[in-house]
Amino acid sequence: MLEEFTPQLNIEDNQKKGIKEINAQGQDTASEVDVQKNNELLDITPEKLVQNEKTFLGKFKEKTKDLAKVLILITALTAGAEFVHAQDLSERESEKIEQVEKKKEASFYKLEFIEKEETPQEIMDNIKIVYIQAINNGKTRPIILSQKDLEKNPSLDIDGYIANIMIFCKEEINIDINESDFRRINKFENDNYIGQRGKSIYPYHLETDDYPEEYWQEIMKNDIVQDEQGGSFLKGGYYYGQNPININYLGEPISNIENNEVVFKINDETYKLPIKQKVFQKFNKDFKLTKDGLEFNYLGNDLNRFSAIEEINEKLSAIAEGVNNVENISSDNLVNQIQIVDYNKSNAFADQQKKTISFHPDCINKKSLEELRVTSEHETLHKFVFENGFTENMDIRNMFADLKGYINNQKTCILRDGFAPFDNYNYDYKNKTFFAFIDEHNFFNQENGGHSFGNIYEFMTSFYHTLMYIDRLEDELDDTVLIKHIMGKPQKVILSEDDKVLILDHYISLIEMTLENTENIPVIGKFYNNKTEEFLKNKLVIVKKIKNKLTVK
Amino acid sequence: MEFNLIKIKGLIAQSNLSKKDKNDFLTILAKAKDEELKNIVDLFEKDLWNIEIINNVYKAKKEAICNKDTKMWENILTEEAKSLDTIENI
Repeated sequence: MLEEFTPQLNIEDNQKKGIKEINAQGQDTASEVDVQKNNELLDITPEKLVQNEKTFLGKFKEKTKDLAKVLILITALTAGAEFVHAQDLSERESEKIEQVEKKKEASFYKLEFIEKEETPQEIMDNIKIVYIQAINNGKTRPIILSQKDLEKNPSLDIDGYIANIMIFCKEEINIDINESDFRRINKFENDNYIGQRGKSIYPYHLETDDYPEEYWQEIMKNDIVQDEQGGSFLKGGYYYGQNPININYLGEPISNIENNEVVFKINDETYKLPIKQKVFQKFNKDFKLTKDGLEFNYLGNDLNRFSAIEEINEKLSAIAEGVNNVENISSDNLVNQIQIVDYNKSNAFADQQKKTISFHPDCINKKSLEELRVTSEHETLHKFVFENGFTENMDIRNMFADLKGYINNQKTCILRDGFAPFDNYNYDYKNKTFFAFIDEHNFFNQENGGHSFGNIYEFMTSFYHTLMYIDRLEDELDDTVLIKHIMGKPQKVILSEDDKVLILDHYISLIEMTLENTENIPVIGKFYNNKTEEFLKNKLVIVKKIKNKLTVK
Repeated sequence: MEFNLIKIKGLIAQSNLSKKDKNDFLTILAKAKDEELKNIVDLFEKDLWNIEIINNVYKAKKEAICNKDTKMWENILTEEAKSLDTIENI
């Protein structure tokens, strides 16, 4: 199965910050290595596939509405569906069984009730229900607090952490958590679902034994309110966090605060709901770090389970080594924290804003020491190429588009966004061999890693990664290149002499262009450190030498 | 009359798809009711590049469904959402 380095998305935040992200076919500040081995076969029931996609694309209501419909039509036609909109009963049944199983598990949270003389009645009358999505043992589990629960002044203690809180009230109300305001839940007229950060949430997503789908249908029937900017919202509907039903959710907590306080306010009345959760805790490593000040922090409720991973110290040491290797070629301190997020995915990703890279335990468990070092280098390099402006440089973007042989629309998209929409599907691009050559799975002879053709962020990261190991270049030119893609079977290519020269020519052009970008980096206010420039100049000499050897033959 | 399908046939003929891809793509689209193809006509008329994009999406979905590849299917949906998000925000 194809495994690739992919970006992590969080468009909303970056738009707010006006940031083009590091790893753009998406968003966010991060890049992700997807290494999940999903052995479950796809249920190809057409109705299920269509429903699944409708849920996924249901948020697109503006200018892409028709395009979303086309994409769903293609699924329906391909899977042989005739637009049956009925819910897939088997899915619903399996969800119910899962919930019964969950109920059998020991409770993962405690509610303590505090006697108070007075309960703010206006607020109590207004709140319908509080729905918390908590992460316990790597899985998402609901905690629902009814109006009756809230009247008893509960204090919640979770053996895990919070991903998301949804609060449904009758009327508008002010709600904050740790003094950060909740956001409004989207709702559009005639829709039978609500929206959160662009993700559609249907009543059945919230269904539990005690609160069936019909209950949530009623909740979602509340009036719609609109703001001055034209936003359309569910009256009295608020949320805070990221919804784990979103496929891009990687296990992020709402906060790293142990004792949280959700505060409801109407007029003079105030009501507080204290919530205690697990936060990042320092992982006491049993090995010497290659870099001072690098910390390992674990988020989850079972540090012992994580600590029991075979060769855990060696594996964490390999991750630290990866960070160190990249920082050795850089003038910057790129990463000072490795986060282990105990969530049921198997990825690694970098945070653009913070000096942090993150791993899921399963990723650490499955990968070898060598693979972890390479993955760690890749994630740290994402930060490096972004911070050095290589991915934002128009000449480099132009060259990336030219290498792919793109003109017109696709080129415009790459110059503007760093990637072209739907480009991961496109197999009709030039220089496939070059892109595959620099992918980690080829250059480091690993099973997986790299999709440099995908966007400028992955391209520059993988390319720079090969420069770090330029001593491998000559040998790799003599090796076969495996071209992988989202579609089709991998294709093996034996490089001809001409192919090799062409690859080296691309190397030379790219290094020269990157060098130019490095030389242009403003140095106002700090000492000019030419470490990157020296690195590139050195690699340029080596590549030219290899090319000379080849052409003189 | 299948007006939309006829229009699509003409548009696909002008596209850069290979002969085989043109045939395969038209065959799958012909399975739809004609009124369901209106959005596709609009999309293809807007830019012939859209034909290549949607054909690539179709081929990827076909591959995932034929191989019952859950991971690939998830990748496809993620890619769709990312792409639509981008277009939405341009």
